[in-house]
Amino acid sequence: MNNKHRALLERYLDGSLTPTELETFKALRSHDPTFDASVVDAEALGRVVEGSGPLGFQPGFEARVMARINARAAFVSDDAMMLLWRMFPRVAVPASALTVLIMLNNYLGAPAGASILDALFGLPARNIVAVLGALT
Amino acid sequence: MRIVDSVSTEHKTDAELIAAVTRGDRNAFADIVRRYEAVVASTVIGMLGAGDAAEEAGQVAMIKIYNGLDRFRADSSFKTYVTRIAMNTALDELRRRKRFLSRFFTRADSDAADPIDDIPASDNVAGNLEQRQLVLNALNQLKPEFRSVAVLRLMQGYSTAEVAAILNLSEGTVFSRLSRARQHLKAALESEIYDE
Repeated sequence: MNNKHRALLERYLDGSLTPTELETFKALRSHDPTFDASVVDAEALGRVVEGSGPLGFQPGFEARVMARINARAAFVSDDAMMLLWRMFPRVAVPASALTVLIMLNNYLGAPAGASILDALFGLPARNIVAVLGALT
Repeated sequence: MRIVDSVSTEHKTDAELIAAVTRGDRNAFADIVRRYEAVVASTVIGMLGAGDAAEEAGQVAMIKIYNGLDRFRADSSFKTYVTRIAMNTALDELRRRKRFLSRFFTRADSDAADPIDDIPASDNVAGNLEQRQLVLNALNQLKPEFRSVAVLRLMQGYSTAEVAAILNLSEGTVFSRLSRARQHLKAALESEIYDE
């Protein structure tokens, strides 16, 4: 079947042939047994598919959809929260690793006698003491 | 009061319901879901088979429709718009499955048709269950590009022009894909066709 015949068949099944095209279609059917067989097959297949009945979801589909929509609406910043939630594992692990490295570097370079906290945070002990003293 | 509301919205046009939803009336969207549930079901079940994946795709499609209602411009009918979103959601799911399968199986395996679930016994729609299962199995043997035209044209009764518009294809491409799809379906459903 060539493209023209294929288009003619599909438009016949659509019911969109003009009267002139319908005449051409009928003439083709009567003179071309292969085309006629294609029309018969296409109509039979259409009946089988239609006869299989409508497809449907399990009962309660509307309630399930609305429950999801209402849940999303109740959680106002849902999209932003989802973005943060997805970003968290990607950012948290490298950030923690970097923090540990910086603290280790500070600790190794700290002057002797510095408290462990001052050493880890890289601050001279006297500054921390001075700040605490000023506050108190 | 609630009954009066639901009766009154049943007679509203699509445009009125869409306007109500965009004003913030979520209950109006429940009417849209009821009105187009069958359209979405035919599309996603035709593409994915009956089962949890189709249910999930149907729900996702409805949520996409809800989220995109303010962008609907009525340059096509709302039914066509709904069908396009449902079809794209089903095609996305098929692509996701293919990506997943390609990680674990060879190309030949991942190109093979996916197994589809049996239609649940509690399915509440009319029709011949056995024949429906055969039709869905036959559709499932088709590649997605052929399956999509067959579902829209043969199951949902869209014209070839509408199928072309929904899938963003030329009519010529739809004609040729339909022809191929019909050949495959005829071979797969031969016993059903000639037992009629």
